[in-house]
Amino acid sequence: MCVPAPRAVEVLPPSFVLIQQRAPATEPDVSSMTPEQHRALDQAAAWIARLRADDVSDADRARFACWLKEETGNAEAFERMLEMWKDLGVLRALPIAITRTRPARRW
Amino acid sequence: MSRIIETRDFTAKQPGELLETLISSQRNALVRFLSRKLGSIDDAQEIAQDAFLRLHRLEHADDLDNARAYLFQVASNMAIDQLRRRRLHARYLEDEGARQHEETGPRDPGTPEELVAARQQLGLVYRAIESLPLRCRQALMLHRVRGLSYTEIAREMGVSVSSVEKYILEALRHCRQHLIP
Repeated sequence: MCVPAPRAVEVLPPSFVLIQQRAPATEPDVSSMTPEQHRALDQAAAWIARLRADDVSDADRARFACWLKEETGNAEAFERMLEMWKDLGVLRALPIAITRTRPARRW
Repeated sequence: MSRIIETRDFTAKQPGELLETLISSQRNALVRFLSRKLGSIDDAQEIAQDAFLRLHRLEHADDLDNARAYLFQVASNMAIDQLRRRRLHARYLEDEGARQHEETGPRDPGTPEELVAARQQLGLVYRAIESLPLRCRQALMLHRVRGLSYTEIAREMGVSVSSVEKYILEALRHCRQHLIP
């Protein structure tokens, strides 16, 4: 059962909140999307990241279901991010190296 | 064959739990179904996962037969989309390779518009990924291309699992700006 959240923050995964706190000021928005649409897409991205985690819980899924219903644009935003996620599958065919980021051992 | 689920078994439970049961009982059957269509178990698991995510939109999951049919229909459509995407991208790569080797020849049917769109899409994805911060790119590639779990990626990169999730999120937000107009 979905308890209506006071504001979206409570139905977002923790990582999203932390990103918001860290994010620097961005350039003026020149796209045709509303701030609400941008927000919904970012939240959808956070949900994709959470739902694909090893430790995704039933509570996560329940909160996700609530988020989907919370705003009318959320389900559509999720659809669009899911489409993008699928499109990223083409990365398998592109010549992009997966480089190591751990420092090389020094002798 | 998948196990028949009796609706009366769940009279005391919430619709959400029916959904969970549907997911756990149908996962193997769905992955097998998709593997036959796609010729790849990895792709099948990927699409099954995405199809399950869409199940959360079902309002009335207490109708199990319809939910199962909906699940398979959604997954089937996604598989068709992926086969189509594969075909377009394969033709794009073939086209690039052919251009490099200065070969010409007849191509499979597929409109010029589709080919141009696929080429543009590939270019956008390439630029989006190349401009990612290094750690975000690595996390995304390891997850999306190699299929590693967050735990495996954390071990590979020498970072915490929660950091991996943040890298994936940042990667998605970055790609979003490049790929969603």
